[in-house]
Amino acid sequence: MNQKYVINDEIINQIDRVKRKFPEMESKSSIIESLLIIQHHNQGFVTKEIIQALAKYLGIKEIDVFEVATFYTMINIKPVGRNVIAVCNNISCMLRGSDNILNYIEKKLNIKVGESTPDKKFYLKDEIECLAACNGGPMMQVNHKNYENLTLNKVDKILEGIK
Amino acid sequence: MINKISTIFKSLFLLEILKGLSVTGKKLFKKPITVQYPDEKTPQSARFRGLHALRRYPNGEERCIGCKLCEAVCPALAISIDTEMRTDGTRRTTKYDIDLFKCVYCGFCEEACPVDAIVETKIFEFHFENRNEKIVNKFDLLKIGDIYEQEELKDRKNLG
Amino acid sequence: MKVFINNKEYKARENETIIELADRNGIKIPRFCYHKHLSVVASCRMCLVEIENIEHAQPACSTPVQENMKIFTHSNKTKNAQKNTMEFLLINHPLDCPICDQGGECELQDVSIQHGESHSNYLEFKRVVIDKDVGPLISTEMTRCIHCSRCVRFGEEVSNNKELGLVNRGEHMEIRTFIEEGISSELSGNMIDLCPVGALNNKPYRYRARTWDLQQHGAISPHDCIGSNIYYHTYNNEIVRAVPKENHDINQTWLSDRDRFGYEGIYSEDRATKPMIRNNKKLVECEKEILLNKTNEIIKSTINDFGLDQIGCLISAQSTSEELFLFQHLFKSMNIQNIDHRTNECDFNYQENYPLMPSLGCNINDLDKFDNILLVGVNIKTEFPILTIRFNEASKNNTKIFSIHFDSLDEDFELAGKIALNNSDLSKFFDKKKPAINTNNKTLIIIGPNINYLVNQSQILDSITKYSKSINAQQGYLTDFCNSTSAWLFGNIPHRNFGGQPTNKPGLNVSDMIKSGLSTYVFFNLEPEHDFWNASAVTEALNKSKYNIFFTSYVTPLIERYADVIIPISTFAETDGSFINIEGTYQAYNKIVNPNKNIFEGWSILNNLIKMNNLGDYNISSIRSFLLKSLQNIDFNYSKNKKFKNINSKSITNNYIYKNTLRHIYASDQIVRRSKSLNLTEQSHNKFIYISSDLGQILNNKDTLEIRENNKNYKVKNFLIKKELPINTIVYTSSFNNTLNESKSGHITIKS
Repeated sequence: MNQKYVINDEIINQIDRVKRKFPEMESKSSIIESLLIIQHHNQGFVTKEIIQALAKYLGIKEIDVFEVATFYTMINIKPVGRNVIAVCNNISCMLRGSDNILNYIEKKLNIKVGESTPDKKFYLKDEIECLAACNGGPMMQVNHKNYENLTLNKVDKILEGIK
Repeated sequence: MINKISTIFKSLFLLEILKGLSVTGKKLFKKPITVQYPDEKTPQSARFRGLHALRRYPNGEERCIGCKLCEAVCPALAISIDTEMRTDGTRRTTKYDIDLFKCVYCGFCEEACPVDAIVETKIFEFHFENRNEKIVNKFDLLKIGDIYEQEELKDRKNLG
Repeated sequence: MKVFINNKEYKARENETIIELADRNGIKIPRFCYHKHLSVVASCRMCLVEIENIEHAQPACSTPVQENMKIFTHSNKTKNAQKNTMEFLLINHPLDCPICDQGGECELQDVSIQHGESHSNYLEFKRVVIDKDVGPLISTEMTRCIHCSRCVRFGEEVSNNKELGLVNRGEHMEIRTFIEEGISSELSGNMIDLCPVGALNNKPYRYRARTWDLQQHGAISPHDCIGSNIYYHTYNNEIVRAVPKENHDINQTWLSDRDRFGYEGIYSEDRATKPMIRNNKKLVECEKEILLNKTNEIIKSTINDFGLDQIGCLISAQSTSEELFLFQHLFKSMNIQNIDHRTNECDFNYQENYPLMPSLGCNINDLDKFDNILLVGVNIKTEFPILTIRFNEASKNNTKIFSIHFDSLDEDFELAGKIALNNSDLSKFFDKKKPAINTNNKTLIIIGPNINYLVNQSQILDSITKYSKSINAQQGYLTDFCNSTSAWLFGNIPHRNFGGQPTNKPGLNVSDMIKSGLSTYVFFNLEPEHDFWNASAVTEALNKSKYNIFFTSYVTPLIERYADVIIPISTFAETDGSFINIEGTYQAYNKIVNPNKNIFEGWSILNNLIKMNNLGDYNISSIRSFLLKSLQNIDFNYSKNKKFKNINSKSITNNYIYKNTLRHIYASDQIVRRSKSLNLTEQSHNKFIYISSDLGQILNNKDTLEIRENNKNYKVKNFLIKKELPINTIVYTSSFNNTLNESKSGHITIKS
């Protein structure tokens, strides 16, 4: 992992497009989007080297990028599974029984929240805040797609439907 | 006139002496309350404050963390402490001296200690032959602590 | 604007926040995250105050005052808010005050006692944050952190070198550096002061004393010419730590790490602790009387046997003003003119044109009033770290700062332009007008000490002076030692007397004194190994001379070998002293700790010699009052009135390869060099030799450089190629990589 990460031209083009949206001096504004772009091209997570390379490219401190990368849950700083499962456990969903759903998934995949399955198929995301689908709680998001009014059977079907 | 007669009467018959001797006579046949000190001792309170000791944890680690609160609270300025970082990163004393001549045995140090390291034992009968012995150092204090640890624990239990 | 606090009327300024108004009037409002030099984030909520007609208590640090606002800092609502905030802050704060070094001066402790509750409703486990090792200067105990983010904001806003950040969020939030990195900022020590709790603490001071044991002594920093005000804290007659003393005109509330940890050098093992004289080729201990007699005898016999010009007197400009004054008084009264303090220089042709004393050319406070600042041969980040803060302010205030140097070095403030030129190009650079600099603008040209070390410094200084006159710019200097100003002013130079009075018979400058091989040398506070331009020449001179007298705080191998008399003298901390900083402020301080029994205060031992020769008798107050009186009478327009003399400098051609040495941040003077903690820092490990890429091509991947300099050959290994260097240059980042053969700058040839 000690190899230097080089941001390739395609990604740089995309980052430049993001940068243009913001005032020239405010290079910190483009951190989030840039990280997401790079993460998309790097199996869904960023590494120390990526953060260093991005900080250098944007002309800001490494810690600035690191702060952002650790703050937002949609940016992963360690390798994760291909399919991201996010079970909402905010109050509306919790009252509708999201804890059961979560426990069920944990047991089914044999992992804890925040972990990935050993075959790197699933990643059960940690710290999920409200995903704005309280009307259909309990709900979860699999690969950015919402599934509402979950039951244990429904969860089984959804997970089996994923390759 | 009457006064004078009573005085003469009293002195003639040695009444005062008899009165005094009667007290002596009464006590003569009672159990004496004097304690033969070196052989006998009076009971001590569980709160008695005597010679100091530094205690250890059951695993042998000294309790004192060198916070210097006892030094700060000591009204007689009898305690002097130097601290450093021990190799394992903990705060420990390199010097812990108590000047027993300055000490007024008020027990504030015991009170101030956040880890119950410095305590005052029930030992009150100690003496020095040289003046410089009045200063007890960390080594001595820990040794006293080792010897009297059991007693100390008992006292603590009694105090509740 | 009328504002009422606790029903009392106060006059407030426009756009002022409540806490500023309260602070100005001495009304106490508890706070953690607010600091007057940092931005407002209102994240700790400790400064909540009740305001009439507003339902909830408002943070005083971010609420601006309004006309007729009624604020209550002691009402029940305020007290309740404070109590609850305090309870929240203490939820995760460990109760390890007894072993915490902050204990006793902890803001959290104070505020908790004054405004907190004695019990907490919180019964769950407290969270634990794993500590990180962030370097040799700061110890961390991050479980104690209350997330006020002062340290983060300091890095972001003041030092402009952000190394700590708020990582993760919510319950998992912690202050930390980037993965596996430490803190390497030159101003990192300020975070220790800023931290309101014991999360960031002074590592060398760790567990050595409690705050209530310490005695506080105000003093002046002896490590750079800025003259930062310091409080030294002593315990048992030993300095255990240093904290800044607020001085709005100089260091504000900050202190550089060099000033903060430099004092450790005082407790180095090679301190000179006893007076010694050489007897039958062996150094033996002796009494003070014998020492003085011997010293006097040597001086007298040299004058009688060899003449006045056979004695060379060298003093470090790190000495106090009192010492500098008495030193030149002692020798100049004997008509000895060979006195100099410029030991790191080699080209002295400029000296007639030099102003009365080096000066910054403006007040430190006024740096941001210039439109352009040209930094010539100075790297502020490593040489004058405390000024980084000022230049940062200036660059935010639209001052354009340019750097012209023989190396390409980073600064922590924004540079409008940076150029690296080799020595000959440096002198030519200023011959042409620069389009980037508008002549109508206010411009300041600051010449750094690295220029002084160059072989062609006269040429460079000359062209800079001409250039600055042509564009009407202010010319300023930054000097290598803390008291160069005094040294120049009080006549520790061969060509001028006290107060800049010209002499009839100028003496020899340092390099002539060393080259010509005098029969007696007097060294005051100087380390022959590192304080000279060319250490090998000094060694030779010491070897050849008949007598060498060392007034010194440290016994180095060369001193031990060649000294006939070693007079152990105090460092800055063990004597009453004063320094004149680069803006010309005279600052005096009193003795911080008492010297050991056999170490003499510099001024008193000089005074003893003066008394022995019937040249007067001084004490500290009489010297000070004399100096202050003469400072009023000195004509500071000296250089302006003086006719500019054309100088013939050494010719410089393009064919040379230039070797230059940078001043290393933690090797700048003899005390800092011996500071244990500073020697462990990242900067101290980064001592490299860089060569320019064109030289790298010549070398063709060979790993040794065979250098010929001053008719001597030597080899250099472990060098790195730096692309940014100008052509034909080798740069040493510290004179510590030098072998004794080499000089600090020069022309060399390379065998390829």
